[in-house]
Amino acid sequence: MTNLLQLLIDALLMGGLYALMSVGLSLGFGVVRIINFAHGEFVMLGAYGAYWALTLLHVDPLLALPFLIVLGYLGGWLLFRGVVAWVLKAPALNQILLTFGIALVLQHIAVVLWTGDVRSAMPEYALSTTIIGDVFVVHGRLIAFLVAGTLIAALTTWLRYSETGRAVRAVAQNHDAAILMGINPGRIYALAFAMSTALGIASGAIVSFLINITPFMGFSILLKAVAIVILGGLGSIAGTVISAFILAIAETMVAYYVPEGAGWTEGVAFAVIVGILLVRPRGIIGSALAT
Amino acid sequence: MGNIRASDLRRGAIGLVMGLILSTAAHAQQEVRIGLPVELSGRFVAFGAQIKRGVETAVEIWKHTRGDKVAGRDIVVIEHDTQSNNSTTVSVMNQLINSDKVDILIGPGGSDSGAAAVPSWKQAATHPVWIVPGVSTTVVEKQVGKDPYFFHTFPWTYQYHETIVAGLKQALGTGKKVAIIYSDGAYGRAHIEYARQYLKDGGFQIVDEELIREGAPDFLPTLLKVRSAHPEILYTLVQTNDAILLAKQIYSAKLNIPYLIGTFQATLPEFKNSLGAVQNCWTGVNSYIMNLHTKADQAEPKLFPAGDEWEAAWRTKYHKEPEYMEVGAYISTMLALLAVEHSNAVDRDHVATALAAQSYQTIMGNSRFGPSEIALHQAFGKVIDFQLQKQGDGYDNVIFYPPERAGGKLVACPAQ
Repeated sequence: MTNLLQLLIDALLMGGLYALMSVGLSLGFGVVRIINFAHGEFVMLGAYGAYWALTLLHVDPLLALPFLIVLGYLGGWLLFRGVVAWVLKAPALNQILLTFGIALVLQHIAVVLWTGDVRSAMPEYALSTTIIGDVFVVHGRLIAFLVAGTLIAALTTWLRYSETGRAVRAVAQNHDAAILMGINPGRIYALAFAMSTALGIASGAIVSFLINITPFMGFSILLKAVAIVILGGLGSIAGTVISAFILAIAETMVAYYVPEGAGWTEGVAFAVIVGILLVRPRGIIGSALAT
Repeated sequence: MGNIRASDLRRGAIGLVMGLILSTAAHAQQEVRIGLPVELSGRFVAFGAQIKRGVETAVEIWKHTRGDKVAGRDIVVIEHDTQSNNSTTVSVMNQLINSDKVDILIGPGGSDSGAAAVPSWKQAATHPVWIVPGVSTTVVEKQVGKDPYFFHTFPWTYQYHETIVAGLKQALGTGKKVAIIYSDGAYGRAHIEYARQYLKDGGFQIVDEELIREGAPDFLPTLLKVRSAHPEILYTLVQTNDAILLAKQIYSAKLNIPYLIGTFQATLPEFKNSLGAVQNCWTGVNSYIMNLHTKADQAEPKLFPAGDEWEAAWRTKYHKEPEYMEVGAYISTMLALLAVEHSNAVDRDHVATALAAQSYQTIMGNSRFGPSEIALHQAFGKVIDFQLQKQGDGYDNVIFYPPERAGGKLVACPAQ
């Protein structure tokens, strides 16, 4: 029973992190209708940003987070205007190849700049633990969960209540009707892509003290995020958050209860992708594939 | 132009191709071509970078002390990045052997890459001499078998575990409860068999065995199972990135297991740089660690100087301590160049014969090749057990086994 409680706590904390990693991808797809295969590399860049802020400037990753988010937003805006906007009307394969190419370029730039060495940001709270009875809570994971929850809540509030946020939702729901209402979709696309990039960078800053930082960390993160977004329903923020927790709980339970289950946990994401595409391609909430 | 016939054109083209082939062959005869199939990107980039640096340093020192040539031939080093990817490793081996026509191969470093490289090498009609300063998995030893052109300058898996268990037995006696965590890659699967065998033969009680997925971000469910088994020793068979993350999560989970045993990860700079206080009390095993105080070779003191002198020169040149695979690659390259010089040839039979006959006192000990359990040629198979112990502001490698090299004792990890 103690172990079950411990597993649920771990899964809950991990789910928050998964949600933040995936929400940016979901927002980008929901509005711009491009699956950004470079999203994992934005997470990687955020992780390096937090690492270097801590190592060179002695600035805690959490303090560096707002600055990194702004940088990520600006970088995403420029990337959209300079590159992505050119393929908006191109076939989906071209869009996929473009974002995949961006991912490879970013990955190799990271190798050239920082080598392939493994790095970790190690603020004091990263590994410290609170023990309550037989259950322990790793502070780093708890903080990551709280930051992820705050950022997702802020995003949801902005989308729901601000004028620009409503414009973003309008473009996501009906592009043509949004134009008739006077919304400039090009601006909204750039805004959504920039926000998506900023969320990826923010995820990176958070994972910088939880997992290893390497130039190659992006692909496995992307894979997991894609699985979560497909499960939740492409473009649905609420679905993404729900499915992040479902995946985290499934992985944790498989790792613990299935013999040699830890070897199968990464396969859970693949199984989710295949299963959901076969059974319910719309995902839990979204409607992207159905339309 | 109109009078040129097709047959003339054909003859001309054949002549041109033959000329090119002959000129390439003549050119190749004036060279010693050393091919490096190494991990210059991807998760094992640390290995490839170390091998590359070791080889380049050896060639540089050779040219400084002996001149630009070896046996009248130019030294050409051709490196290709395996990207730490098995299928790329196969392509790289094929390119080095069939297109680049290298005379000697040195590398790769990681077990996964090594296992992927063997079939390409074996299938080549006349495969070149292959010196491997890394790769511990016995999958490779079984695949190469008794091939006379394969030279291993690194310990095999069983040599790790034989020494680790002997060190534990000497320090702790028998009967201790052990939990094993191993990865699902070639490394973990190759090691688990020998770890299990030597632990059982050594009188230890294995109370739990857990498999983990390479590259997974979360090991806490696995650690919960380990905690339930109440082991006194945690024996880990994982590589680089996984070892770092696992060490962090073991620390976070406050498992309070007195003895944390690793294989070679504790020698890696990433392990030390990434972990801070978490590295304390982890044990490791390797054929080289700093400050072994070896003597210079009497015949080749400039190529194989005393250990202290060589390490000081390395620090001056690179502003860092030498890593074990840098040392292994340096020695392997020197042995290859000396073999070419002594045999005055680059064909594999002469080079292999010269390599097999060598005996130099190097920074890692004597270089004489001898048979291992299966393969014909292995040097530097003896390893040492050490533990990372806090000394002042940093963490030192304290050797605790074998007794003749011990500088301290194995100590239990402090309770958290």
